[in-house]
Amino acid sequence: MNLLLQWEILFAAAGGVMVGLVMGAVPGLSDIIAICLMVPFTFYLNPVAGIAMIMGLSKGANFGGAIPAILFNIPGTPQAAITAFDGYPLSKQGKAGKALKTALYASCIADGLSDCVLFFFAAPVAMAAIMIGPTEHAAVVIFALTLISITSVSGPIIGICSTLLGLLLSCIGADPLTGAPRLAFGSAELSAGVNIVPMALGFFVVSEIIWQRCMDRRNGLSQKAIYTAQQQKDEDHSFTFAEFKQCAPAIARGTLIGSAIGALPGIGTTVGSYLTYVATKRASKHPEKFGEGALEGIAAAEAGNNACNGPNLIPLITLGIPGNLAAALILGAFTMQGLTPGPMFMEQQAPLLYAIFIVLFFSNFFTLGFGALFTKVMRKMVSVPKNYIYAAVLIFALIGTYIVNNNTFDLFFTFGFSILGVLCRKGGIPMIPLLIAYILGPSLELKIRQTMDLYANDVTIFFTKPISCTFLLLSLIITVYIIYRRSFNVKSEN
Amino acid sequence: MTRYQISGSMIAVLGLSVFFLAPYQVESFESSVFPRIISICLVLFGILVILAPAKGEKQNTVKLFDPMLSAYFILVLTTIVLIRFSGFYPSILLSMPCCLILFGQKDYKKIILFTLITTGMVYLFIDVILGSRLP
Amino acid sequence: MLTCLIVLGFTVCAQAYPEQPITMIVPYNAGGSLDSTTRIVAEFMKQELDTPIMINNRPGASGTIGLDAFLKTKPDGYTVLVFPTSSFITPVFQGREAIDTDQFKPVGGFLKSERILFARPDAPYKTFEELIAYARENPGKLKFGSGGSTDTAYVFKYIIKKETIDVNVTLFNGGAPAAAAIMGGHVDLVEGGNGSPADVAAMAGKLVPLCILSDGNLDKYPELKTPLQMGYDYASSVMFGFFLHADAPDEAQQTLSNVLEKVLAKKELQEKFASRGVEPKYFSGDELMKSAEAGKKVAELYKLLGD
Repeated sequence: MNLLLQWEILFAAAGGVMVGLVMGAVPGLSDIIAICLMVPFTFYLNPVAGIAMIMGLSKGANFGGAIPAILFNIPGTPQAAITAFDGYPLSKQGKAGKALKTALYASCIADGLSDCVLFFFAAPVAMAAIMIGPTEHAAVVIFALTLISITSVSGPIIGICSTLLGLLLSCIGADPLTGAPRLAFGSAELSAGVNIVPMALGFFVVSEIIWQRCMDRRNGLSQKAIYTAQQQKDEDHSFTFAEFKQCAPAIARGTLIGSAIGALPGIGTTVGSYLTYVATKRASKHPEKFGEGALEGIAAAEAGNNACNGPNLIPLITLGIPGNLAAALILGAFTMQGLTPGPMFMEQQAPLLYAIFIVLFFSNFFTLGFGALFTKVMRKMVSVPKNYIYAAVLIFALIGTYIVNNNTFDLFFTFGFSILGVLCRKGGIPMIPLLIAYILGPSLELKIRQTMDLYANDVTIFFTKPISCTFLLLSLIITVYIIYRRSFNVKSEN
Repeated sequence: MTRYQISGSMIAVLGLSVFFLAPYQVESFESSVFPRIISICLVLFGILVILAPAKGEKQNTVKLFDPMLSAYFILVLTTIVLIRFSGFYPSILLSMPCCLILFGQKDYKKIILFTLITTGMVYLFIDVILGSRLP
Repeated sequence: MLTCLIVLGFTVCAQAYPEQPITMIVPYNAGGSLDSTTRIVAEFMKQELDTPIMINNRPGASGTIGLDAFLKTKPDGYTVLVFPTSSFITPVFQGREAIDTDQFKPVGGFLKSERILFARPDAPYKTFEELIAYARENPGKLKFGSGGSTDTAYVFKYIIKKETIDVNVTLFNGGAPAAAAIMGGHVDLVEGGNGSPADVAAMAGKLVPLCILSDGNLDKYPELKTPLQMGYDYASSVMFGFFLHADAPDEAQQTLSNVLEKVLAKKELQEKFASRGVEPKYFSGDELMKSAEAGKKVAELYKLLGD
């Protein structure tokens, strides 16, 4: 217990949240970059402080990304892209403050609840987690990808196309099993594959800037701040308790889904966010309001992504397998201190882990406090003419790409993906499935090939193992159900 | 052609080309299995997209070539090349004004001021975190 | 990802080498086993040399990105490459050429990692011989996963071929996924390094070590034999070491080598590693290159055994 009372830990946590907020809020600097940059400092802190800092960065950045997403439709982090669906329309209506507050409360509450999930469920999950081998993992990823493609707003077929595109693009680079270069066209730079950061920055951020500029030109908008017209009309930056009650189910859903997704290694916060959004939309009485400023949409997206933070540590402390970058770097921090996370970790290090849980829970209050202050400041940014913001964000996006690998060649990747992004927007191809498939692709392929190696290329193994079969059947059932529902809806419209 | 049809055909073409090119770009056959399976699926679904009934598509034609769009891309590309040759700071100082002018801003004083502020902020941000820019 | 770490202390330097700060390039992620061991050793060396040592992480492409970055630096003796000897042959398993060790001048090794074969305690075999017998009677039933060392996996494949048994082999990305897989029953055998999560589990009794697959013995498992001792011709060899450019001045090589030896003998350093169950030791430059050569032999297995 006396571990907790050290100032070092509190400062580390608070510092982490602050830096995370800022980094998340600048499109171009994401949580990944924030963590990569702060890691060297963590080596000199004691393990709890180091972890508090890394997790603080995650928490801060996961909310921070929502700020530009809501204000400018430019997500500060890839997972905030979903928050923008309802956040941006709301802020166009002059209700930016309301949107931001919704996002803030949803994020912090879901994060806090999921930290509790981490605390109470880590041990039982450890039992279950060990049952997930390569076969099961592959089935789960297929399930997630199916869900994401089928529920796409533009239609299941094109959703699947988007997913497939993402999977194909993820094949460029190193073969996941052997590490050999693949589809690299002889280029040394490509042989390592394109990191998610340049990809997301180009695909989402740069393409969004260019697209918005084109749209503005087409619609003949003046260069003045877009909000001046509506601001006088409808300004409403409050967030009432009634609205909170309205969002509560979405937040609860986000916590559950986010925790589940976070606990599975390698799936990611973007998936958590998107799945919560989709689930909330389906459960809502007014699904047509989603995409136009539904508060529950924002709450769902933010709760979904923040709830992943705590449970992301579950595979790490129960099995020693980091499920995402933050966990991987925390693994590094542990190793530096001579601790080896693995299946024995929870038994041997219980006091340390409990200390970590408690710090995580209280960090959410930091997010709440700093987040509230920060959003007040950022709201002022809206009065700056859009074009200046675009130009600045563009530069930061390029800087962000460089920081990841200290390599200017990556900038070309950003450029390439920005072209892809604009093509997708023009061609009506949904962008989120592509992004998620790009992230999950290597993992999926790795697990499938490991399974094939272990079972002598027997494809039916996916159906003979119970857990794997369950997920694959679920995917099938959901696909059939949703397609049936859609054709039913089309018929009823006629 | 609706935009979906264009997308669909492009997807199908991409799938086909990857399917045939892949074996030449890998070190071992095993590496090419996954991409090829994906590319065949792409061809399949690309064709489905072309055939599927358009869901209430209002616009039936798509403006394929937008000169301003290309201008933006060229701007980004030149900025990147500039960065590779001369580093971040000179590039920011040069490209930000071009960018703003291209976006249609006309107030030159504001442009210069903003460029300087941004460069300052970049320096502040980045130096605080100990990263160093290119010379 | 560039992580420049300016370790404290910038005192006036002596006239001889080293006169400037030294940079160490680690071609793997910050926090990995190579990286964390290096940082501790570097910390002690910095005190001996009285000059800052900066650690530069350049992960990617199984170490080749950091390697390429190192080769581009000036051969003035102030940039050191930290590399495991087994990684010189990694490109071979990807269908390419091994890395030419003539490009380097060895300084010395500081950790030899032995790769151990583990099984579950409930398995019907308790020793290596029993394993082979069981595998003969049950072809295609056993599953093996490597814990991140591809060359060790190929050594095991060689053993399988020599003993004409049928075991399914796959590769895992690291010690942790491998350990989780065997504890969860998804594979029956894994290889893991000394100090890896599988080894930690074995020390707690959850896994049983059957034999060693690399070329050195371990004090804590005295009954385990290496493949060479058991009559097979191949064994992997993993040694973490420091390398300089082939054209770097000999003075640099000599100084660093001496300091490394001195530092590794210190009790405080040994204590820092004790909790992980690994024992760093000094290996001379020649021994380092011997380890690399042994690796080259294992590279033959790729052609021998195919994919």
